Amino acid sequence: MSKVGQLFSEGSSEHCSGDMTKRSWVEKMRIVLQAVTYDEGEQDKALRLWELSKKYPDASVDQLKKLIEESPVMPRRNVDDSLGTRVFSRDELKASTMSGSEFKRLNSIFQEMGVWIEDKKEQAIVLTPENVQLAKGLLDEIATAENLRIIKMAEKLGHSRFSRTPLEQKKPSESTSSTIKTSGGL
Amino acid sequence: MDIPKLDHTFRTMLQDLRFGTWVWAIHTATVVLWLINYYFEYSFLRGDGLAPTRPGLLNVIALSILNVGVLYYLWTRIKSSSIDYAARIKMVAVSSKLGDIYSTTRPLLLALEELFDKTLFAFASVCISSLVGALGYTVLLFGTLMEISNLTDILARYGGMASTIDAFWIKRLIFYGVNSILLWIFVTWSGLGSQRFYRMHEYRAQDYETEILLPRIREFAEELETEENVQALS
Repeated sequence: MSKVGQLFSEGSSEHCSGDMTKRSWVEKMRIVLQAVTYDEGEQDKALRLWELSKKYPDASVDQLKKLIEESPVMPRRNVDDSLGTRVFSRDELKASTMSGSEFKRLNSIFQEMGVWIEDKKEQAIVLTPENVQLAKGLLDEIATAENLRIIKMAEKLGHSRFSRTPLEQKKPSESTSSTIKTSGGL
Repeated sequence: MDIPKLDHTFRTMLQDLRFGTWVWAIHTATVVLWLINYYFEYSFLRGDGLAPTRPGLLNVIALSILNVGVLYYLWTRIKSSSIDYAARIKMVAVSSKLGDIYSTTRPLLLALEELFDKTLFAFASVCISSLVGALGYTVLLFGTLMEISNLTDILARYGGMASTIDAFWIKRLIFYGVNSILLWIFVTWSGLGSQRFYRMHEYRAQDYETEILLPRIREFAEELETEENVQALS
């Protein structure tokens, strides 16, 4: 496809219907990995914090912390960790954003790589604590790659103060002078 | 996990936009002055059968409204993305764990890709519409220069109104001249903006995954794509 053609298309060879099919496989992997590593309490706090920070843009960090404590809980989904494993139905992970054949491919690869196990009798996806750790590790790697891509995009715009290409200078897992060190990827 | 520093990126985008907005604000102010001037000229000269024509009046107004709308759209998009980014930073300050979770829910990369796509489209629209305006003003400027060079005959016919006719054409010379320059500056500014965002878009169209992703993730993605291609062929 020509460069001009790419401007007006999604640049994807996929032709199935649904929002998910417009995304790259890395994005699809990220969304599914995020679903299986879901932490209900923290996720709820994150969403409440987001809503509050929009509502009170000038609030200080301490004020926001206080507002979160006072705001009502809005649980999205329950995850039962009491048995040490997480169980999801295939439909729950597939949701409405992935076609059946796409999920079949993803399921096959993830099982092969040890991201999860499929309980065919119960028609469920099961993650042991080790599986969850592996999934979280993969999610971190994807987030790191996305951050590097953001830096490259800023460089392409010429709106960057970065004096070097991160990929030329460092491995993705290392810190960089063009980033703010935290434990959370944006 | 690291967070990319984007303060400078957002600040520079807003500064760029401020420049374009100023250029367009001056242009709009001159158009308003010209419309007021036109009203008085029309009232004054109509009695002598010399009512001035209105070269592209509706086009000028439509162009102004269109570009003001696009500039306002650009400003709100960039500003809200900048606030979004600042909120993410604050979120991480409140709790790095929360920031981490929120980022997986609403990745910054996707938010920026959407912003850059819309910015590219807005800059390209502004550039094309302003190019039409810039060409129009340039044609009017040269037309005015030609009229001024032929003024001798007209002044001989309307001797008593020499100063009025002189002022009539000099005002047009200034108006068309100033706006030709302003519009070409605007076209250049929006063209450079489009080019910059298109360059970034080209980068996005490349297979960045093989460049950036760690081998483990890349193997997953490649395997999934291979299976997909095999299924598509079969």
